[in-house]
Amino acid sequence: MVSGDSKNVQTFRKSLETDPNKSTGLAAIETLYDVLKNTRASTAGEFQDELGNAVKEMLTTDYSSTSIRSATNLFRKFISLAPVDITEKTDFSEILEFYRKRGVTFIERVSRSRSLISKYAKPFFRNNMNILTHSYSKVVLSALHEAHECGIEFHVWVTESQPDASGKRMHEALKSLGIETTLVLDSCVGYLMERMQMVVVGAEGVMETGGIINKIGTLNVSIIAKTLNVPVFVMAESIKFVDEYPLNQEDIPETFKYRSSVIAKNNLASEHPEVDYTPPQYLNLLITDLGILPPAAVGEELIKLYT
Amino acid sequence: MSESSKKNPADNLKEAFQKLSNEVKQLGMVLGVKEGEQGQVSQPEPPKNEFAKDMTQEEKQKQRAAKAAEKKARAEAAAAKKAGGAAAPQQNQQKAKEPAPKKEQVAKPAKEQNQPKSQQQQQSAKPKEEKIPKSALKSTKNQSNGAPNREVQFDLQSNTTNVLRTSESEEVVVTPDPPIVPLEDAQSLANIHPAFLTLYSRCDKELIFDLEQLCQEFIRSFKLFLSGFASHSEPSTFSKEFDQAIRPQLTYLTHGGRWPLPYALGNIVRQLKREVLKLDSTSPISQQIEDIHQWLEDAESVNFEDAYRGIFASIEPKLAKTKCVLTYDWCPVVNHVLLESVEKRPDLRVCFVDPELNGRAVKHVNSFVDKGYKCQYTDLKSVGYAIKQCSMIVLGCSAILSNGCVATTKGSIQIALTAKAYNVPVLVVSQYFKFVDKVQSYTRMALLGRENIELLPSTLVTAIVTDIRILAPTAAPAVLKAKALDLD
Repeated sequence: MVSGDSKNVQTFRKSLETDPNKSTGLAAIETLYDVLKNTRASTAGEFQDELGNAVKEMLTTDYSSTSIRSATNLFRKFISLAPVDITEKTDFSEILEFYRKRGVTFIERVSRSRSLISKYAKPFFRNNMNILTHSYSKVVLSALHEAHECGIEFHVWVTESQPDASGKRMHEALKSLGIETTLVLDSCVGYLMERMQMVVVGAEGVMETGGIINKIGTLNVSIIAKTLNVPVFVMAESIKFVDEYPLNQEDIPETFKYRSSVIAKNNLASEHPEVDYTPPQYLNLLITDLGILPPAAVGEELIKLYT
Repeated sequence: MSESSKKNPADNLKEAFQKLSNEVKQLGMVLGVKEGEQGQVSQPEPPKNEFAKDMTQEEKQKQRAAKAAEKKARAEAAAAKKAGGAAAPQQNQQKAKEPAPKKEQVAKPAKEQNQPKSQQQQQSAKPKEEKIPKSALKSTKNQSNGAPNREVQFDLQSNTTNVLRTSESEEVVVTPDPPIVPLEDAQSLANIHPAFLTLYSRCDKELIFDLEQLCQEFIRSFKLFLSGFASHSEPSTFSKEFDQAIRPQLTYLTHGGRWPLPYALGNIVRQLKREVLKLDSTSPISQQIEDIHQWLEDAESVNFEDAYRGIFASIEPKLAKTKCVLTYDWCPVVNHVLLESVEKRPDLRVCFVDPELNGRAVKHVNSFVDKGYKCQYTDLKSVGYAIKQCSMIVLGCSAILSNGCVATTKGSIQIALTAKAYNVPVLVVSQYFKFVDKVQSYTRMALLGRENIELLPSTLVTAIVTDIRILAPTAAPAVLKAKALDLD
């Protein structure tokens, strides 16, 4: 824990460190719920300011800002969806009480989403499959785990995914679960692709285009898979849907591309981006807790939420 | 040679001629010429030579005699016609008209019943008939068998000369019936408010440049119509009465419902009608009129000024990263967005591509030059060069269909395909009211009938920029649902 952190950031970090399986988004939401529980705000504006500040503080950490942004936006949107008879109440504490109830429902729903995704993804796994995955993803890991638990035998090829070699972590985790796995070089994806039956990746954020922002290298993997007609499936919770529309790689917001600490150094020209944007045409399906969606349906879901 | 033998060949010859002429007549009837109408244009040479092969000396003599008789008969006929019509010596003519009669004059029945079907044909044939000197237009009153196959015949005739000839005493110069236009009679026009008459004729004269302008002028016309509307009913039935009053106006604008209103304008009209039917029937009429007026004011500001501002706000972060932006043809929304962007970022280069030189995109150039901004201008031929310099394409549109297709000006597909080839994103700017619940059809539209539209497939469009958000073209159905534009 870094000294000088505000109370919210401390809660956020603690939440993530105590449970390594927790997603960044869920931790961010729990932090906001903490704010909601302890707030002394007397007006809606005041309360929203408080939440906004908490989000801003969390965004200064080095955790994925894509996930924090999407999850907190959705949380704030969800709790404030109230019937008219609630919003017209003069006593703000009653409204807050309603918000808290909504908050609990939301957190409960979010924590269930990973198991839902595993359930929806199961029919896609077959015996003796060769599956390629890129980088480390908790959702993908849990889905592979559940399929393996059901007795399906498959071989997972994991790319190293430099610069932070997060693929190594994935490789270790799979090995510990007893799943056959091989760690491969990032540069051998083209060589391996012809023997793959599917590509599974997670996502840091699902964009309004239906494309995803994920660990750098996902675009390479997807393009090669598309060229060789190997299906690409994305597993992502619906709290990762972001209200953002990148037109191309250049158009990805900088806060998504670089860690906050890197942006603070103010010398982006020499930095390597952390993520890339995979356009929807390279993706086959998105497996989410809302169900299995084609990329085009993401935009519709977001319009329903934000319009 | 005995007398009988002398006579017999002549008789035989006569019989042969008779038979032949009957056959020819029949042929003529089949081809659409009526009996008794064959004219007197003489074409004696070819048949004579043909038959001369088998003719004896006597026959030749006989023929000469017949020819003389024919000449005489012709002279008589001419005299008779000059006199005002003597019976045509048909029998004597028979020899002369042995060649196929369809090459001769073509008849037209004088007494045309005004059947609706034939009106169209008549109109189409009219210009041809007018070219023929009127003296040639002669017709007969009584045609023995003209009536039954008149229409077929008419078609045939329109391909040949339109000389009407008769052996009848009466000579009628046929003047074709005046073309029957579905003329709005004075009474039906009297119901149309002058504001809509003006709008219609302005469209007709192509004074309205684009869809945006049309919608705005329609709303303005409707306000005039509303302010001049005198109600004769109770407040409770006002909305129904007003709804009825709108109908003839719209029917007039849509050519009696023959062509639909341009889709975006149709959306406005639909929303307006819904608003009229929703009026609070308990409030006084003046209040209800005020409500509609307020709705129109809102529609005007929300769909235009506010929307323009919103679209600029949505597109600004995207434009912030581009060095050069290209647009095609004229669209007021694009113009507004680009002017605002250049105002904020003077280093932004803007390139206008016109369908042809000195076309509609000159309006863009003028608006830029008026404000003292630099811009580039070229035509569609050099789009390859132009797009290479650009990092974004911004297009306007007339409508966005529910399958994500974008209705834009002709030539946009060329732009979008080139952009795809050079990996340049294509953005389409649009207000919400341009989303329509239709798929893959863009027929001729009322009011903007001459507008050149083509459907840009959704795969060629990177994003649609609306006043609230940027969205994928495939998200059009969600917009329709969210904005309740899909309801009838």
